[in-house]
Amino acid sequence: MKITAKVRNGFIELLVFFIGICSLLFVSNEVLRKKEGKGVDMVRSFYRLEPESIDVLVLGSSHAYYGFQPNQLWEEHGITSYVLGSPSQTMICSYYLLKEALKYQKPKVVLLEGYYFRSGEVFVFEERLRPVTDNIRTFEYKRDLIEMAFPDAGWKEKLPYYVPFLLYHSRWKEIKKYDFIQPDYYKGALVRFGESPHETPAPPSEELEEIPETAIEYFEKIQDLCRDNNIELVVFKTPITDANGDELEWYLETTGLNNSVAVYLDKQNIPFLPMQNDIDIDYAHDFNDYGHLNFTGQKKATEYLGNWLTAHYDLPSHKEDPAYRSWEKDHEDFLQFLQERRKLVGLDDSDV
Amino acid sequence: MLFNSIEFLIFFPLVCLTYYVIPYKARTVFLLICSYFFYMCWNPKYALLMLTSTAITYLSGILISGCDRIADEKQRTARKKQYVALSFISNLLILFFFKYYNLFSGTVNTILELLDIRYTIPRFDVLLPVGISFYTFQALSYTADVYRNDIYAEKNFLKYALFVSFFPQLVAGPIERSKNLLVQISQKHPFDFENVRHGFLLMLYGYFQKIVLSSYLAMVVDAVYDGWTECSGLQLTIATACFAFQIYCDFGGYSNIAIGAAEIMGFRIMDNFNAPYLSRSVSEFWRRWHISLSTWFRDYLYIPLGGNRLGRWRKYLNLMIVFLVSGLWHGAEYHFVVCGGINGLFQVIGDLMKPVKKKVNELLHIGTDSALHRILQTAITFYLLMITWIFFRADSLSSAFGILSRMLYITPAWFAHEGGLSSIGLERSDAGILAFSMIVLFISDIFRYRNIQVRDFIIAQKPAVRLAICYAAVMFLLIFGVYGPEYDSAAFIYFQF
Repeated sequence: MKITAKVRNGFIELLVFFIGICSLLFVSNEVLRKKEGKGVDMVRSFYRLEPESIDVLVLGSSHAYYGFQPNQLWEEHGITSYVLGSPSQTMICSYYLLKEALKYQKPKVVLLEGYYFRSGEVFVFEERLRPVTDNIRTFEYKRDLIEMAFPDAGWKEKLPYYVPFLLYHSRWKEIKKYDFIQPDYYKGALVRFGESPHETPAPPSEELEEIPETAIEYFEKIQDLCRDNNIELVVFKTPITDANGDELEWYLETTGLNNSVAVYLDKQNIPFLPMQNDIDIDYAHDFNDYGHLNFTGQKKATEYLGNWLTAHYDLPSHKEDPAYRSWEKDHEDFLQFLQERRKLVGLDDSDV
Repeated sequence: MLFNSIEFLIFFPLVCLTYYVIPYKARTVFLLICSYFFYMCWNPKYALLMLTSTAITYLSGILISGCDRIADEKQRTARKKQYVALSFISNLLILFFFKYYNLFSGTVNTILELLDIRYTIPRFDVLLPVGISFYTFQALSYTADVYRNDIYAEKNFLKYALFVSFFPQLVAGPIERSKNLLVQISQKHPFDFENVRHGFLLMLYGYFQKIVLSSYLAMVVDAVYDGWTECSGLQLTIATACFAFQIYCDFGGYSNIAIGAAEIMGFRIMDNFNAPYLSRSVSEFWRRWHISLSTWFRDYLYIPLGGNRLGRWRKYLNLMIVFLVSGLWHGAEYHFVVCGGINGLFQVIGDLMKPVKKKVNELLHIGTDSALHRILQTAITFYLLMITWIFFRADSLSSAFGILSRMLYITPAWFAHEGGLSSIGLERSDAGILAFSMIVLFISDIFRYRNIQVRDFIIAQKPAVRLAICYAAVMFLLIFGVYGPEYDSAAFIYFQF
């Protein structure tokens, strides 16, 4: 083909077209992708942290991000922390997220919420794997998780995990302000203001529930990672209730699992903080539902964890350090958000 | 692989790139391999069936043209007819077995049961080969064209095989003629940006019809038709109107993608839909709807039956035959036949009523070219077509009659009293996109009706404007199109754990 001006212009137009479409797709994908916790966006926002700026990394499921508040830990102890949580985060996901996190941060302590010692699977609900696979940057980890999660699926079924736009393009119907701006002050934690009154639950189980082998396998991988990177590993468990007897079976199973986790961690010489009886929990006011703490519950849990951490590890306050000024600013923004948000209590008790 | 699949979006650019890179000599074989691969993605076994049809019609062409050596004209014509008959019968038998056998055996068994005869014809659980009706008709047209001396018999089997299997129009038309496509297969198609622009824009429009309009309209149609016994006349009327556009956009969209894809590779394929719902009569509609099939029936059934040359009543009989067969072509169910029959009937009645209409117009001094008259004609034609579409969409004849009888009783209640948009399966946001898209379709069809191509207008713009239009169109499709896994926002609302 002879390269005339017409042909050259045609190729330039084609090139501009492709570059333009790719850029537009990138922007649309950013707006339309699902943001966890109405913009808290735990996994994605993690990458906006200053490199090597956090002391404590919290991993785990909703129990972790409803039960721990990094802004409070900053306020009370000047310690920087982040909840790299995701809904129903299994031990396998926690492991990959920790591996990913260590590429960007050098935490001194990893706090792992222990609810998902119960699962040896990659996911419990398929859509809850999404916040991890959609946002984790290292392709190799993303691929490992997807391949492990869907070993028998064809490439077409797996493709929407690699190209999330295929799934999220139809989110245009539910676009909100937080799809455009995700504030930095959440630090991965969610706050719930609803109150679900409960009576003091039944005595916990005295049985030992079996911990799945895969959960142990991946916990030990987490342990190895922490050891190799000189990180203290601590497992905690936020309080639960039996929903006035309605969820007794689940409650006994969970407390039974806690017993096994305690025995196992004792053998491993890993600190375990079950918290159920260690904090002054008010069953009438501190729960958002029978399994998750609300704002006041989170406050008590964080206070306890903060005191325990400072008592056991050398975690100096960064409050006076000018390099950490942004943490103070984020904390102020968080307080303002709390003030505004609490005015709405009673009207809407949803997330954040 | 479907046009609206990920596979095709990978397959097609790769084919185009390779097609333009390899030498001209290799292109026929390359496109043939690609076409068979495309077809075998559904079911590899059925490629053998297509190959059989191809071989039979190819041989028929060679044999028919070989008859020219017979000196005696009578004997020559008789021999040619034998070969044509052989080709038609063998191909139609294959079509009959795979598409109509179960309808036939079911009907015979019902009759036998009614006559209390204890004998049943066996049924076969065969999967309908994709596109069999399309490629069979395309291949048969070749036999007929060679017989009529409209085209020389193709000696090169590979070229002929590509004519039958050319992937853009293989599974859903347009049903091409050898006079057009087979000739182009022998021609060179150098890379041309004009072709790429034209073809790409037409493909975009086709995708717009298919993954936006047709899919959104399907939400209404499915929601109402699946529970039609609970729906009011107004809801059924809206849903039927939506179905009229759904089938137009689905089929028309697919045709446009096919024509656009072929155009990118330098092939011109015949038009298949030309603003059909702006027709002012049912007969005009059939000149604008699925043109490649209508003209096939005209050329290879209606005219051989005598067309309109054997008197008025014979013409009506021929019309009815063509439309009943056309109904059957669309699907092996009786409601398709009834749908075709009603279309034929409308045309017969329309022809019979011509003098009456003329008299009424004269008496009432109605100007037949007035805008009001034209709009009224278009609206009446659309309503009549809606009636025929009920028989196309309904699951059975009895439900079609049930829906029709309900539609005749449109309650005076306002739409809002019947549950609003949600009662016809639409959310407010979906309705907005649907309304916008329908306006685009309407404007585009008005231009088409006046023989103005919107894409010519877009291509004539400065590159920056042209690109902006393309960006907007592509992003509209990517965001608002219905594709990929279903996003269920409810499943994404986490409450616990």
